[in-house]
Amino acid sequence: MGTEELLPLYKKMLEIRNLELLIKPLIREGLMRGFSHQSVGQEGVAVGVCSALSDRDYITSNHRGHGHVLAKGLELKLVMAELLGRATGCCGGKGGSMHIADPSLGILGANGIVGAGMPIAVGAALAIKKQGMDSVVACFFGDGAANEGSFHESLNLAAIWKLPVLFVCENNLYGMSGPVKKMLLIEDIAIRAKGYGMPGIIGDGNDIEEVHKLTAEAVARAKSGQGPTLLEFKTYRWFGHSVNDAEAYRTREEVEEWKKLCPIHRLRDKLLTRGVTQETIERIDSEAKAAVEEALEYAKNSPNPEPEAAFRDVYA
Amino acid sequence: MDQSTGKEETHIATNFNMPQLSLTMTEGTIASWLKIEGDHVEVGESLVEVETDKVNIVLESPVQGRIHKILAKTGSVIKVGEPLCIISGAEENLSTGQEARTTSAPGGTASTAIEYAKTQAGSSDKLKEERRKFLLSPAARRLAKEKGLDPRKLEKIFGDYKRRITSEDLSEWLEQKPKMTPLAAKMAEELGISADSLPKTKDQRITARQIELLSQEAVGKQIDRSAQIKTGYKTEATRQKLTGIRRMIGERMLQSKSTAPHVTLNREIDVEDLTRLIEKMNRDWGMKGIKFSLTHFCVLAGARALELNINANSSLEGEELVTWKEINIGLAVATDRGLMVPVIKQANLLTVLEISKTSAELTQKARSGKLMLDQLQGGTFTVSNLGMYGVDSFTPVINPPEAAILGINRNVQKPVVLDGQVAIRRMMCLSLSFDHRILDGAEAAKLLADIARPLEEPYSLLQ
Amino acid sequence: MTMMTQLEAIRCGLSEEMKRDSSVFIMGEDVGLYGGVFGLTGPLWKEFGDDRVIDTPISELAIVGTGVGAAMLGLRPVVEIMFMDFITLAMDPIVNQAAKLRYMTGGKIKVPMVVRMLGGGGLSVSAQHSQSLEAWFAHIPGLKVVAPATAYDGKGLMKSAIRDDNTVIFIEHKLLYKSSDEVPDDDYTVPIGKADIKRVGKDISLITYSGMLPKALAAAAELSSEGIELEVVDLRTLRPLDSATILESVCRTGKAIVLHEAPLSLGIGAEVSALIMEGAFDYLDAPVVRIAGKEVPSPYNDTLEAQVIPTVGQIVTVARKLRHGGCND
Repeated sequence: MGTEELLPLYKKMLEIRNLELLIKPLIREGLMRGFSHQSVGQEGVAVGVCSALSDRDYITSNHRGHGHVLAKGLELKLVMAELLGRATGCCGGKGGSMHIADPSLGILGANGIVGAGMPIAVGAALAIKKQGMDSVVACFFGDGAANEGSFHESLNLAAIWKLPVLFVCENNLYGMSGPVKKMLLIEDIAIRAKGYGMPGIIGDGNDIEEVHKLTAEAVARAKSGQGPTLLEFKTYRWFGHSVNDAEAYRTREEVEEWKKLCPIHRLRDKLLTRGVTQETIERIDSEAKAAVEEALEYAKNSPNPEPEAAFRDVYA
Repeated sequence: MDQSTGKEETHIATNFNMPQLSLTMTEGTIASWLKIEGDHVEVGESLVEVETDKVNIVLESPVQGRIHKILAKTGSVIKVGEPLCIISGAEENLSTGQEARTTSAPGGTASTAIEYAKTQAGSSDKLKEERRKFLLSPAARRLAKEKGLDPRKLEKIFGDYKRRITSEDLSEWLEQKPKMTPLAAKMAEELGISADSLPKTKDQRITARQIELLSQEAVGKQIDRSAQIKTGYKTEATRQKLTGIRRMIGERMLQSKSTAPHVTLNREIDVEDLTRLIEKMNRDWGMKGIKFSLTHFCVLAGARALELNINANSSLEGEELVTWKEINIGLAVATDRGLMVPVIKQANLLTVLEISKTSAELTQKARSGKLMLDQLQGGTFTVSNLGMYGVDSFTPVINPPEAAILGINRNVQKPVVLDGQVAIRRMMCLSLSFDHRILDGAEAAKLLADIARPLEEPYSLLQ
Repeated sequence: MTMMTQLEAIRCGLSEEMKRDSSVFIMGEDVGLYGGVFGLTGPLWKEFGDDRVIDTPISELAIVGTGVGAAMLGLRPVVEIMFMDFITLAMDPIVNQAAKLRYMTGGKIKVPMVVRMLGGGGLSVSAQHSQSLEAWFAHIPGLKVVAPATAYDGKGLMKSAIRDDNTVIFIEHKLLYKSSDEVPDDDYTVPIGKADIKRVGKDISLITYSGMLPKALAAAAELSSEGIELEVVDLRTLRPLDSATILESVCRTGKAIVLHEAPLSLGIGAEVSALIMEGAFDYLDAPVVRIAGKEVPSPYNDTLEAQVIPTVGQIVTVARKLRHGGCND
């Protein structure tokens, strides 16, 4: 990929990280409530996959979905306002962190139920095929979700009907506190694809170019009618499962080792070697920082939803 | 029934109250108890003999249980609805003094309980006891408020009902309407019995049976049970209660004989020509499914004779003699449920063919139990044939409120003197009973002669 | 007007809607070639083909979840759960997704899906194939739940359910499939959220739905000969309940019985009773009585099973007691 293509991706990853880094302070301040699951360290997968999708394509996401929805094109301030539960949030303050959605951007929603996005993605792909649309659905889920019944039912259904779905597994080595070594006997989740008759591809989730390439190949396969692909991107989350996680299940050493493989740093280093100047990099750094700060201001100054909002939109 | 487990609830204490045995009964006297305290009773077992102004009757237990306490001593006079005794469930402990539910013997109905949640624990029972002196349903309370009724007055009126007072109770009291069971209400409406003619009862509801009895009273029959005799014999016998039509017939016969002074006139007539005519007609009409009989001719003869003796087509109502304009002949029909008397309306205006057809239809309906009420009403004279049973003559009982009844006997060939010679002729006896309050002997004899003549000259009946 | 069975009527409703709107399609196990476990969808597969009547693997979770996804993208799936008892395998797509997506996204998403479920006992198919679980779904805000008891209501409510932009749980009863009545040939609908008084009466309001309607009407006929007139209210929709019709009826009669096949505790009867207590207390001459299924799983043996389901005799007995003076405790 050329640097022109990569620079916006670099900025996007920074924006995601900057927003994610605000979560803990916001919760401590009491501006944000409930659960939140940060994806710091996994930006490469979100941005890499979405870079191979078009506006016409769809994604379903999971509870750790801030990165996915931002990468797919949702505005920072709409996400931030939603996290703060404000009326100006993309869901009017009714959904919160785990339920962010915007179908006009092809975002069929983050989801609070592990594995729930997979059947929905299959359904969306069915609708795409039936209506002859030139689109695909990328379904983000983690290593833990690969053990849910919905994973197996969805993969089988998408395979037999040759639906245009990309099953994107972000294997960050832990399903909450459960290490993959303990929860699976297999090293790679991708080999399960064989059981359903679809290709299973493994990639380095922290190498954004590789993520893009593999995704693009899967998109092409899907659009040509060859059906779904299971993509497994190896990555790591720097923080705990959620804000209240003491991380007793892993060592600080392991975290530090993976931090060295940070997707943002690696891309920055790559860009610098390919002729992008330090100024450009720093400019983008401060733009990304400013963008998030602006979004936060916007959110903080937004009103709370009116009481009647609690009773709206139950039924269409 | 306990809805959640499907088991029948255990029966708890019931009051056994004085039932209303007739519409005019207000109280009864305890003649003798047939059970003592502690005795076990089954459903239907005789409990106590009660005397009213009209009748002595033995009351049966409506439930299974044990006689817990006898409340009404022998010889005491108890008002309808008041308790006679308490019957407890088999393993019932009544020492807590729980308020008992009310039931009563057949002949009256009472409110029965519906078991709701089995969550009623012992302590809440006590609390309920204290708070529950007088209960109005929410709807009753609303109605009372609407009508500006003083609750204390209501308590005076309904206080002893021993159940929740409903808005229906209130509106019935307000409108001074009689309380009826739903089936009784339906029957009353169908039979055209107005609510005004029913007595106002306090808590007991008028039953369908009582409406049935009333509908017969409305036609002028009074049920007189005063002549019930008790046999003192102790020898072995089978006992069967008189019910239904059997009982009604008995009552009617008794009433008839005891009110109307019966005199029976017998007259032997020559039916040789008549029987030959009938044979011929049956040969001619047999293929059309028509069958003529002596009875048909007697009906016609009787009807026409009444035209000439219209006084005999009467009834006595109190001190008034009512002479009916229509001549409606009742035909006594034996059915396996008992004697029924369907009526051939305006028989004097019919031909013998029409009488034959109508009679066949009514007989068939009577035997299959399909007679309508109006087919049994309106008779002014009755014809009853016992000839097929080989009876030579009998004293028929008048069908009240009619003035007379014609009995037909068997016809048999006999040697008689005709024009000075002995001839063999078919002879039959007519037995006419009449009410001597309405007719005297001469009048009745003339009536009988007017019946006899056309039967001896049967061609006149074909016109 | 045509005389048809409820099964035919529901099929007729589906057929007409599939003709009228190409986005309507059916998905479920054995709905196509096999024809559906009771033969309902077979003729539709013959008429519309594999594309519109889709056979799925045995994957209830994926079937319903796929329905959600397809509905989110503008199609109108009619998803079949072969026996209501199997819905337990697909609770998440219904309860956590379909019922809540619109709300959680502030109105951005709608899920116009119909989920058909076949419930009810009486065929000796045992505990895992005979349940009536409608109360579960009637309890979830965001869902609509309908349960037609006649052929007329079957066709009319199917059309309304398909046209509704929300997820509608469509409850069918095995024993009602064969019941028949007159169905108009034209394009009529039965509104969701409206109960129907199937028999007018002045004495007691008998409120019921689905499989129990025939028994309610039979009991009413028997009681009429005794001078007790039952008013039979067919709920038709369980969420939202037509409280106006229920209350108007009970205010007139002053007495109510709620009848359903599902077990007694915490069922639809409990909700209707509370509704009546709250809305018609001052018009009651007696507490509301519930007649319902027993608190046991459905037994296999047919005599045992018959004990578990309410009978006409039970209804008649309760109504007689209720009419003759009300509660006496």
